[in-house]
Amino acid sequence: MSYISRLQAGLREALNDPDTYFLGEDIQEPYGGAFKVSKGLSHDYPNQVIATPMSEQGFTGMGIGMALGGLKVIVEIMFGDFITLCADQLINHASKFVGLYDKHLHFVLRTPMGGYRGYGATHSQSIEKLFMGYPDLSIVAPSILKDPGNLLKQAINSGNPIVFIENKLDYTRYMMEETEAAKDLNISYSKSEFPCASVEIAEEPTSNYLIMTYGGLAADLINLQISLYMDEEISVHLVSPSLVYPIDQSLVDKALPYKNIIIVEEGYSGANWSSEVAKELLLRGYSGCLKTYSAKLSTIGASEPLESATLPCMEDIKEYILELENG
Amino acid sequence: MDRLEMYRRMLLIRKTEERIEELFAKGLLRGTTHGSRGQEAIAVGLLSHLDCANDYVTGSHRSHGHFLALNPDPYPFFAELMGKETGMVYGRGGSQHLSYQKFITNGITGGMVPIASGLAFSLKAKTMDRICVSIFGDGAMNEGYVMEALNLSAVFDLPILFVLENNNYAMSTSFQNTNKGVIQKRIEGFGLPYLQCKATDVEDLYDKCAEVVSKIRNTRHPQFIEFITHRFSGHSKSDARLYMPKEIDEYWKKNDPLHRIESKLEATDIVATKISVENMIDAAITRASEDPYPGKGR
Repeated sequence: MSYISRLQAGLREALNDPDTYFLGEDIQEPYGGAFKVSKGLSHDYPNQVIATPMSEQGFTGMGIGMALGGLKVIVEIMFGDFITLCADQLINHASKFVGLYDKHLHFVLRTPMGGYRGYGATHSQSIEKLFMGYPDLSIVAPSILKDPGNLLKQAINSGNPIVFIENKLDYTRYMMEETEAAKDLNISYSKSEFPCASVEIAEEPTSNYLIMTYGGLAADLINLQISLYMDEEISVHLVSPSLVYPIDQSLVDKALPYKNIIIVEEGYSGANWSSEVAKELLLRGYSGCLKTYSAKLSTIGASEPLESATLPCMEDIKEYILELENG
Repeated sequence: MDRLEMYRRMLLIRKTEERIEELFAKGLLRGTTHGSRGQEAIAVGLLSHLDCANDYVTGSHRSHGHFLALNPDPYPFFAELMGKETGMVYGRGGSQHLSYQKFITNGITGGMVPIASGLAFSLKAKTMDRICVSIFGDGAMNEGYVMEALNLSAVFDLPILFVLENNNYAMSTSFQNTNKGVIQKRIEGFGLPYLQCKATDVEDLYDKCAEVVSKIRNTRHPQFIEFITHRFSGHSKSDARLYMPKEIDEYWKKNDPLHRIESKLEATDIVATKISVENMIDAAITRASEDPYPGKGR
């Protein structure tokens, strides 16, 4: 099953509870959502799939209010770039109802982030870092390593407001466990509400290198991991949390023993997830070699060479590892 | 509700607000506060028709009166203002962040209006006569998401009453200088029924609100009321009201809703009510003062 089918299955399971509502722009039939995540849903759940006007601030607030009124609410923001509009309702309302008034909010705001598709400056970003560092507000991101449908159900049942970050390129990908390549890998998960995945080369369980990433780049970095082993006989390990923020401490525990750690994310460099993970590692006494890759602080161009110059490039990471390996 | 009880509740709000100003002046309260002296007729005339065990009521930064109209016991309120663990939100909230049963406020202008639409949505699906009332000031009328919430409530046909307390000043900024057109047309542009009411005669206001609230309970359609009112308090504790023209204050002193109802009551009833309200507030302040502060939090 593809990532999008898993996500659709999770949405359907959530909507089997008649107190669950799904709100967003263009999510009803016959359009079925900009990325077709909600295809067929309004046909099967006509009273629970609510097509909204183009008022992201307003319907995010309305969704939070519905959750405050005891419903379970999933809000879709069509492109992740638009979540700037939701900031006040998430930071000053949803999270405060939990922190001030002890409310349980079954509220998930899900949205696709990411580039590499030529959509240009305002439809290609990964700006979830805007919501890092606030009390009672979490960021969860599935990947091809962790079933987005299951994670969505976990998120909607958690009782705290959650920003749920999908990646556009992941929608059409197959889940890792269903690919041929998975046979050559050891994939394990931490036992937590939002598990952290570890990926190792099955034949070569030791490694000097650990790649840390989340979301859509996990797929590209597993390909890099496989090619480094097949072509260069270099064993690289990878960890990918599904809880992006607060930082999953099991991720830090896992990383500390490695000689070289490479943290990769698609968002802009600086004041981001990588800096937070690096900070946690350093505070825990990490003294190895640390490197981060993220989007350059530059507007993402629509043209292919311009976009590539800004977003993280797998070749750069490969070259870096080869340099380390060859001294 | 009889005339004397309306007076008692309005007086409780007025006297509580006065005592808050005194406590701040003496340095006995920290933080800030937003008073509503002059606007009491709205709180009492409107919210006496609501039961916050069942109906949702959302307020704003200026909601002391709304709480006291819904629950005329100043003790959990003073405990909250003093930051005590016995406060209605355990000392976390202070003056702007109140919560009691289904009454809830927040400190972001207009932010609770979309939330209120969602609360009303949660009532829509069920067969019941519960409603949501969302109260905000004229400043909120220029927040984008308030306009979005009005449209959403009309589109989804929600059982909600929008209540604009137009005291003519958003902090120090006059309504006339910052609003083109008229509110009525703006509201009717969203397809919402609009009613305007001057907040001077609490009994008249009480009757009008009875009708509107009952209509929403029965028909489940949204509606908007604009109250024309005035605050004798500054915007917040540090505001000396230098922007307020004397003649406007003078006009409203003559139209003060508290004096209006007082003029219709017996002198002995007034004196007895004043004594009982002052005693109630004294007791609340004394009790709250002796309460412990919260621990280090969650």
